[in-house]
Amino acid sequence: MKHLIFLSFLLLIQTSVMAQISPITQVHGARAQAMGNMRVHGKDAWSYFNNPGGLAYLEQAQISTGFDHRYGLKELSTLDLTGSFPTEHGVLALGVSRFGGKLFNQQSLGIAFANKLGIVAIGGKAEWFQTQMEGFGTGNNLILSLGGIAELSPEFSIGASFFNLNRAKLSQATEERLPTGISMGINYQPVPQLQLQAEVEKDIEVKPVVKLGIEYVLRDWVLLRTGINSNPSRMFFGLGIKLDQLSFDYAYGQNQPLGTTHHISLGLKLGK
Amino acid sequence: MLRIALVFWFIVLSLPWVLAQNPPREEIDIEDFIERLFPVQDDDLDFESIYEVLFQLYQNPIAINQASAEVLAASYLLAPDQINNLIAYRENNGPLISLYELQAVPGFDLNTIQRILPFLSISAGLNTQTQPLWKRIVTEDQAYLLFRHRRVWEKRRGFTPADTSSTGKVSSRYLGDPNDLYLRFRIQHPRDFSIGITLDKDPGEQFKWETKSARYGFNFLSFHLVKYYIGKWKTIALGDFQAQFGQGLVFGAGYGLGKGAETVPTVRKSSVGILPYTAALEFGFFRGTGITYQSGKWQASLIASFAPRDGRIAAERDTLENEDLTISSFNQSGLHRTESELSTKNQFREFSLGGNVQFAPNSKLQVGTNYLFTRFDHPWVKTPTPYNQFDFAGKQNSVASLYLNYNWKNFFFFGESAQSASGGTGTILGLVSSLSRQIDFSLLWRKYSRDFHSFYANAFAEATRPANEQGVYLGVEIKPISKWKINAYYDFFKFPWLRYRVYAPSVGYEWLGRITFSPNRSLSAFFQIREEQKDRNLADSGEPALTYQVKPVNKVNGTLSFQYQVNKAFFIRSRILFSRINFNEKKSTGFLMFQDAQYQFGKSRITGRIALFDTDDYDSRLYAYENNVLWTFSIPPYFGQGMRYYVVAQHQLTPQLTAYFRFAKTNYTDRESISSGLQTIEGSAQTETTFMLRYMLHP
Repeated sequence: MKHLIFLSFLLLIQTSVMAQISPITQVHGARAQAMGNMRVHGKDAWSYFNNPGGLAYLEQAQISTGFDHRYGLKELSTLDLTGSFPTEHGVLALGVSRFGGKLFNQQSLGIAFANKLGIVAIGGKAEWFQTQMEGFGTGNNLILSLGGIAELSPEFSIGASFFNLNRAKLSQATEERLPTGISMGINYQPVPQLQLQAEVEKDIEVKPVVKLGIEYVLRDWVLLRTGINSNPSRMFFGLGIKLDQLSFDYAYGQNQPLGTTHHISLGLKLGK
Repeated sequence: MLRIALVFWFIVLSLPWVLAQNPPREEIDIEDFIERLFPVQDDDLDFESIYEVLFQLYQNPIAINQASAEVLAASYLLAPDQINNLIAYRENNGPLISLYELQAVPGFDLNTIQRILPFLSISAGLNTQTQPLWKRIVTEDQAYLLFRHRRVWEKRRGFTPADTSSTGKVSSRYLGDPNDLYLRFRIQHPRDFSIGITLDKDPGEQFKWETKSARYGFNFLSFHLVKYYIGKWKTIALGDFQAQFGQGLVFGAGYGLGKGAETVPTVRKSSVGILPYTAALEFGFFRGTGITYQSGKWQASLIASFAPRDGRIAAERDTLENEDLTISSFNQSGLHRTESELSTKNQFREFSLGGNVQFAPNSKLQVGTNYLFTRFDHPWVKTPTPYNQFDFAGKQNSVASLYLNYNWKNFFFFGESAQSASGGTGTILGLVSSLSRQIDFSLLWRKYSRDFHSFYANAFAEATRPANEQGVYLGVEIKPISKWKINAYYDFFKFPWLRYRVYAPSVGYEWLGRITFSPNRSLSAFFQIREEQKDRNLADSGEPALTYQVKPVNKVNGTLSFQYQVNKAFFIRSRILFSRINFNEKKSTGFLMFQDAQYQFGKSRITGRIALFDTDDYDSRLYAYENNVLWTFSIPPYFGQGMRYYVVAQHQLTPQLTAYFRFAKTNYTDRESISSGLQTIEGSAQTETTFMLRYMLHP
């Protein structure tokens, strides 16, 4: 019975918030979540998931892990792990993500590479993606994603991120495709302590979403964040703690009809 | 800035006489011009022919020391006060010695100079050549051969085997193959000569030699021979040509600018005269002879054309013995894919005889008159409906007009008034002005009676033809501070008689606002919003007592755009477009988002786009300019839901030979079959490739 309730719930949210439910369309990392589900301008290790172009800004090798808990259901939680390694030719990153519970789960394993061309940072990612539904079988596929950021001035940058460009199918046995989308955003940083971001995201089968977010550096090591989304209307709040090697981020999200979400990430910088 | 966009190096080639003391050649961005000048992408306008005419205009650089106000205005690049200042400067200081001198002309800021520079030349470029004409033709640099192949790779229904219906009737299918072939040969030298041949076969047409249906391999053949400036003969054109005089009420050469993002200069048309016709569109041009003779302040042109036209013939039997052949409809698509379409090919002959006389007593005034007589070899009888009862019917038409351009201080007045044989009249009156250095202003009033008939007109109008319409247009361009620009227009119009799909007299309005920010040459961002309201019939309610009801359709379109030339090699553009339609309490919306990138390395260039679109219906469709192979033009509508992407690559193989390739694909997520009728594709994807080769005879 419990399973039945869960399944019917899953089907319900599949239709209403499919955009937020798959690891491909989810925005990963508590910092990005706290700023309003922002995908484009992270410029941190979580760019592996959100916008591979942003990886090019990393100067230090880093390992990060994150956990998302949604609407009080462990079946809707995500677990992420990513490592990024700057090299001579650019930044290389690896990542793994798992979403779902026993009956329905999706996991991805991938590799990304990013580099800077003048003021433009460009990155690409190839992911092996698996969907498992108990009683229905398993589907595997390759997903290609792309992203970039152009820094027009020290204060102002614009960027775009595309996920699942190749419009991979859920599995070989079905015509149903995994979601494809574009996000475009601007980042305005009038003073080093303040970042304002705006984004428009369009998932191929979902109405466009407008996102706005702020990050404010209260002390050198304490960061406050908040953001909003249009459609479905959501609000976000978050806190970041930044130490020399270690960082901790927490985000709280509220989705009007569905309830609250919690996001936690931990980051560890390697070397200097 | 020596790097020259390949798309436009053709134009740069047309400046071989630019003197050494002139600034280095400037890069020209044809896309920028097109986007700036093109009409609001709304109805299925004939963009390709507009493009061709604009392109021709820009191929012939303006001789800056000789150009009159009229010629300078035709470039759409200068505001009235800039034109006046330039002429005043020439009068006071003598002719410009170098293009660098433009900086000394009041009102010419760096932005304007950079924009107009590629289209100017210091020398008059008249026949200073000492070689005989044939030698100039043989050795001309601007000589090329172009071959283009296009194909949609999914099979359309028209290419499948025909099936037989239950009544035993075999269904219609396309006769030919799905390849679209295009061949063009052209040699030209600005202000000297132009020779060209264009051959075209549309997809579905047969490649066949058959004199009966006038098919000689390719389905369409267009050619021209034009010689400029033989003594006082300004233009002598043989073959296919177009003409543009006055405000386009009689002669309006495919020149459909009007309401667009450029809100001030485009409302006025210039008398550019006789132009060679080079497009592959199979209607709207003259075939015969056009000549212009200029003597002092007088100029006279004569146009004689005898052209085959496509259309359907109906036999009307009034008595048992008598059978009258009439034209029931014209086929302007130029497509001859099925037996039925082929049977319309060259069914009629159209004879046109016309002329223009223009008098310009000084550089401020220009007066002219146009006349055009057209006769078909059969009478044209349309199926009568209430809305078309004042349209042209019969065998012959004539239309005559008077026009005037007058430049007083910083005001450019223009007007044309025409009357057709039916007694119907059409009038345009307007002005373009620089009210101050910051504000340019335009005003245009037009009134076309419902029985005004002019076949080659292309005048400012909301409807596709200047008939059954009255309206007032106000346009303004404001440059409040440097780097910012605001464009806006408001157009109010009414249609006193019924129209297609509007079975009652109706009114409407349209406005546009655009704010542009360009802090430097490489960066430009704008936001544009446009609203239009027009009436339309409600769908038949089925209630017998009611006739057609008319309700307003309200459309709002918005564009948010950002483009940046990152460095010499790399260019990016992001754009978001949206639409909202409100008709009879039913709302529909559209959304389009795309990212473009261009990368140039060595002798190659790659351009690409990824777009996601989602519109509720065809009404909420959105248009976006697309890059294509050289001199090919497309602004397709995006509608339905899906993803579209394309890649265009070009590479210069040898100095003579350049290859272009384009791959475009649309994946729909909301349909299992695309298009309708014989064009139907079973499936949700459409793939199109374009391949083109250009061979320069004398690189």
